[in-house]
Amino acid sequence: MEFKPTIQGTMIYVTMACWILAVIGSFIRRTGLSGILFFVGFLIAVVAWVYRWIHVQHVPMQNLFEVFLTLGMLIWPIWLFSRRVLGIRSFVTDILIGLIVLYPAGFSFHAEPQRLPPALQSWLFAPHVAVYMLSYVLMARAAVQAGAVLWYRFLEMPEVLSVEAERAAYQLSRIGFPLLTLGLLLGSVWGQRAWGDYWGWDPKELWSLASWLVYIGYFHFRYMYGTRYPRINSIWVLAGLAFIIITLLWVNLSRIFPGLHNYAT
Amino acid sequence: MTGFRRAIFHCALWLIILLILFSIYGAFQGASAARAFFNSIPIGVYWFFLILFLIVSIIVFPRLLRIPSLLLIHVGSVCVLLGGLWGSEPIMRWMDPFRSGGHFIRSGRMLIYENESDNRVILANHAASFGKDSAGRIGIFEEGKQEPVMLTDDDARLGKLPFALRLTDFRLDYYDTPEVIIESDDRKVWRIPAEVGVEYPLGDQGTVTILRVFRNLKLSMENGQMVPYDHPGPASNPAAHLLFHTPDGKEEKRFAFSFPGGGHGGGKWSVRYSPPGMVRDYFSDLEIVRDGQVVERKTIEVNHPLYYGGYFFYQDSYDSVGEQYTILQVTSDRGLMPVFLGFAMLVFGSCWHFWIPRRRI
Repeated sequence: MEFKPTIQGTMIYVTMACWILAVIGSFIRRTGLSGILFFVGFLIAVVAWVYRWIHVQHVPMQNLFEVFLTLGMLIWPIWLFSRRVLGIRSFVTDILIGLIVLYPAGFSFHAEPQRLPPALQSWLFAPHVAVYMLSYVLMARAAVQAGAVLWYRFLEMPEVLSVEAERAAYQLSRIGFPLLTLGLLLGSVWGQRAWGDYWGWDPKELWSLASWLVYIGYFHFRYMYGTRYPRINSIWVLAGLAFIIITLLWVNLSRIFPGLHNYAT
Repeated sequence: MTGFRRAIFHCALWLIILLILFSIYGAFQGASAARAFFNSIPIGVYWFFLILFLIVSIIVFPRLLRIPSLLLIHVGSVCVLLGGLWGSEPIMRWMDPFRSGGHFIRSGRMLIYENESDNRVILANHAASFGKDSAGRIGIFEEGKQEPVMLTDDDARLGKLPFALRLTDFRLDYYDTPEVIIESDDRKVWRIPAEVGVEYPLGDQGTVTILRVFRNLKLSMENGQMVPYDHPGPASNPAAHLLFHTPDGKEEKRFAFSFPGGGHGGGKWSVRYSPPGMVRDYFSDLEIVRDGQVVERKTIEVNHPLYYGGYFFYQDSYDSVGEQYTILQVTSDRGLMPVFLGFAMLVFGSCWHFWIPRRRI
């Protein structure tokens, strides 16, 4: 646990405070006010992100602190997109994902600016990470919906709820999957240019391949059985997120396994 | 779905699950063990079946042929797998007897000194640690052994390019440029770039010349005299050796160190050395020499390789002590086109399939 008494840290805390108030507001049915607080929190997160960029003088997606700050900033636009385009309503859970993502940026990861080692100075760096971040947020939201399916089934709530959540999980995975594929492609093009191989078999690559394959398995399974087994469908989506979390945190979880992506701590 | 198609579909699902399990296993092994694992014969059998099933699926399921986005995704996957297989180490070793002029080079490393040329590549599996002696012979250090094994030019661990590479210059670029900070006894301060051999004026107080800079200064005794030298190894003691000329014609030699309190050695000058910070980038000026003719020139740096004759040459590493040589990584472009073409099909196909709603027919 590390408190950050800096301008950077303060902006993160103010964002989190806005979002906590938005959740409370939503529970006491002040929805208008909640919506405004969610948006204000997003604006402050954008300012924090731009501030970070100016401060470190490179796209702030290099270390875990910057990656989680970026993820937190993306929550609001993705919430808006899925409400308007996909018709998925998930106000409170989206804000909670935002809070979960901002918490490590605010309290556990170090924020000291780092200089880029030569291999990270590539124009492919920012799109590679950005595309992955975007897809991870979408997949996290899909997993929340998948979790809801299991929850509704467990409590034997009306079937329409779980059918709706299962459909939402599938829709969100559909949106996120091409981005996951693009992230893999950009990573391999970059690897080819920087290290001479489009695929290096290092643990982080293998975990990201495994998570990509889980969604491949999910799409095949759902094509074959449709919505006949909503619980198994949901387990695929939850497994996908579990693998993504391992991919993100692998270097931190275990420093014993040697690999290329070790610099990204 | 007919029974046959259903069986194919089940197999496909299990092949996907198997690859997930292999990936997890590989991730626990670390990069080099995982590479060996995925290049092993049992997994080779798996790759063969995966490609076979993908091709059979494309033929058997009319839906895959009818919907262009799905066709793109599946044909793209086949392309990636076939390209990867074609450019893989085991396939190249298997095809070695058919190549004239030695082994196929999938990847490896080269060590080239400034103003020298070379066409020998230490093949990837044997390139853990290596060096060159004064006669230009390559020696590799095997695990657990102190003495290097010297390789003859026809050794199986060496590959030969049909052309040679010549290094004309190698340089480093730092985030902080190294500086020497000089303060005279009347509190005047000069900050001068630490360039060896250049004489800098110090106002009316004479001049200073930087004789040498050290990454890790150590002293040794030779014939009763202390001799400074740069000790290779992980420790660091950056220092600069300075020569002062005062207006009255006197000479004074001093060492400038970077650790605090290392600057006062008595006398007129107080000196400090600010060593180069983290390396920002490194550069090699290369020439491709074919039949005695220079056919291509390029400066390569990290992320900016040279591509010539089916091989990529990357800035990999360098001589961190004297900046005398460069280490290049060499990789063949075999299978690269199908892999990237397949990747593009996968990305394009999945965007099309998952993002653009299809009309129900």
